[in-house]
Amino acid sequence: MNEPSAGGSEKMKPVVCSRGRLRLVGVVFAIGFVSLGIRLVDMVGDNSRGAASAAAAGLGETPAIRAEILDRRGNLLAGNIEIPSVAADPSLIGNKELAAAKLAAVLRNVDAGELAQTLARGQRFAWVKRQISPVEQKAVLELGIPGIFFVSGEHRIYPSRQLASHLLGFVDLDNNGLAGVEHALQTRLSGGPRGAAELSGRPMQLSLDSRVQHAVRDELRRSTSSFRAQGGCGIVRDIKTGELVALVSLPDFDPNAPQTAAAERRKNRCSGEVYELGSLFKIITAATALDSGAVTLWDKFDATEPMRIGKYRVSDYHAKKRWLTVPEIIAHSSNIGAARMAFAAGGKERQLEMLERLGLTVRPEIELVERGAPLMPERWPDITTATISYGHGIAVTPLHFVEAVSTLIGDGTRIPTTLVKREPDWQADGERVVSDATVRDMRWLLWLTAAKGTGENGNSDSYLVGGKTGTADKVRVGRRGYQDRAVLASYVGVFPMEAPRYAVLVVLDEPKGNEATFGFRTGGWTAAPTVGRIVDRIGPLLGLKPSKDSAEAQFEARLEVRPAWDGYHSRTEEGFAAVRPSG
Amino acid sequence: MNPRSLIIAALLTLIAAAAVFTFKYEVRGLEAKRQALQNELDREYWRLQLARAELEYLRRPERLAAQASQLDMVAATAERIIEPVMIGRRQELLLANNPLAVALPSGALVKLRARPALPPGLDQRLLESIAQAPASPPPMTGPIRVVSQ
Repeated sequence: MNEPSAGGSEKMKPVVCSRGRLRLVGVVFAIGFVSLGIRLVDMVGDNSRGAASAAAAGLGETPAIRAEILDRRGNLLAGNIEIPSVAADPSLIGNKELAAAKLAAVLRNVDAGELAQTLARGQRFAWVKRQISPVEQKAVLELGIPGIFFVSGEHRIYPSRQLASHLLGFVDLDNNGLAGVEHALQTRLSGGPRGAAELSGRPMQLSLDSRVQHAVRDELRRSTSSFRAQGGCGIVRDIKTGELVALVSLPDFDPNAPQTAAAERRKNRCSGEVYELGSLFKIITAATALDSGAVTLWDKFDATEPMRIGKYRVSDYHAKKRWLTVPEIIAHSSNIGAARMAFAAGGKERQLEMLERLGLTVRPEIELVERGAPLMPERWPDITTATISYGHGIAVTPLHFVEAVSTLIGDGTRIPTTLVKREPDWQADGERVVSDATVRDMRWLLWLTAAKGTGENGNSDSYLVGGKTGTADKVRVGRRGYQDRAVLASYVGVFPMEAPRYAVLVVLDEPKGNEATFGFRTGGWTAAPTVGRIVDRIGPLLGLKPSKDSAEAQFEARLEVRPAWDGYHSRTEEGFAAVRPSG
Repeated sequence: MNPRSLIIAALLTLIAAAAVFTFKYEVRGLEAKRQALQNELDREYWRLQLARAELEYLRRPERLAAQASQLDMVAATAERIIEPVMIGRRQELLLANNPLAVALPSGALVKLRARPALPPGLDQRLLESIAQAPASPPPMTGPIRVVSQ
């Protein structure tokens, strides 16, 4: 039995051997097929290698571009263009000093000595000059220096120049935001580090309206020039949505060349600087008093004599020397009345609570890096309560104030201010600050002040405007007390008053009276007419139907409830006397 | 695996190898073409960006306002905004504000004014404010009633 099997085993040997070879060949073929398959997939499916190599060569895919900034109507406010820069590979340059001298001769603001030192450092790459003009590029090409080449890069431009300089801000050579929206929204504009890739390159639409911005800037320039003011601020805010439609700070600068502007010009007076806004604060005092329930519209307060608080004396610039109702206090801008109202409403606690609820005790929330911190009193004795009631002893930004007024005149809820255009389906979800009844009273008080009080010069021919004037002594820099001859004149207007939609605030820094104002420099004579002109110009742009004639009757009717009304003296300097030691 | 299978497998390998090489060069060609198109796109993109910036520079409000004033154009003011229903009524209102001197058969001269027929719901003061706009009196046409003043 064993032999056949042994013979059979001998016979089977070649078969086993050939099977082994076949397996080997099969494995080789299998490896070959798999390799080919992988290669096919690699070549057909993956294009990234080509793109990567192209990117390495400075070509290929569209580069990551900083998002454009548009206004609410789609107009370009900040865009990008391609600009070449000159670079060098010093290892390829023979006579470096000669090359540096030749380059410095054709490139503006390039020093031959410094450039020669840079080239002599022995690196393989060195910038010669960033962002050159086409004329410079042509000149460098004509030099034909080996080792000199161009690198194309993205350059930020602002076609509207000064129009919205403080709001937009500017960027550095590497397109990093340094001021304004450019800085505050750096992550969004540059596409974001992670998780925001879908936003990369998508334009950023602001709430700003270029046409309104231009009208505000134009009128503000006219006023600062006419009244020889040091500067000014103009803000237009949508009361319903909280969107800023215009924000102008003067003097301004060209964001295309920010390095040429003095620091004073780059200062954002609307959101970055804080001021004692004076009588404008009486709006807040009246709202606090009326909303507290402790004071009604027709309550009277004693303003016959200056009010004494310790060693201080609160007085009116043009004292009525009688008891005044709340409307009279606002319309006559009585400091004594405002102080008494503040105490009647509950004093410090109620005042501070209202300031906090209106957001006046913290930096304004807005998409800007320039956000001034309010200056609050360190101590809060009675005299501080009194001075704050008429806008002294507390300093806030104009942006703070326009938001506060929008809250009190809008629907009583605080809607955050924004520079970014709201989506059409955006729903307001504000925190309620004052009641509907207080809102109604405040609207009427502002109409009254504009129609028959100190704000008479701020009226519009076509729209019903309500407002309040403010004239505040400017604080001495580095010393206690106030300057004698320097004021901050302001006017806040709201229109159309029958259904308030826009708040307009104008602040003039140190205006001087002129012939047209009979020498007066107060808010009623300088800032109020500016607001009136702005309202007349921007109303049609904002699509508002003229309604003054038809809307005024409802406000007049309320006035007739009090026939004993004694009229107003709108052509007088309003009271803004600062608190001074009586001794 | 028999010899026939072996030959088939070898042939398939050769075909696949040939396909890969063909494909490889085709892909390279397409890649180069894509790259050229991408470069062209980039150039066009930057040209477009430049054109947009130039356009925006040319139509900035400050410049347009200056040019408009040179052409005696004025901004749209609120006085120029009227209700659509008022279009066509303007002439009636102007006629109402400009009395016509008429000689009666008796020889007496009287002034006649046309009173516009107010559509319901229109505010009288609005009508008056519109009628105050200066314009030459139009011919007496349309649905008006003439009354003696």
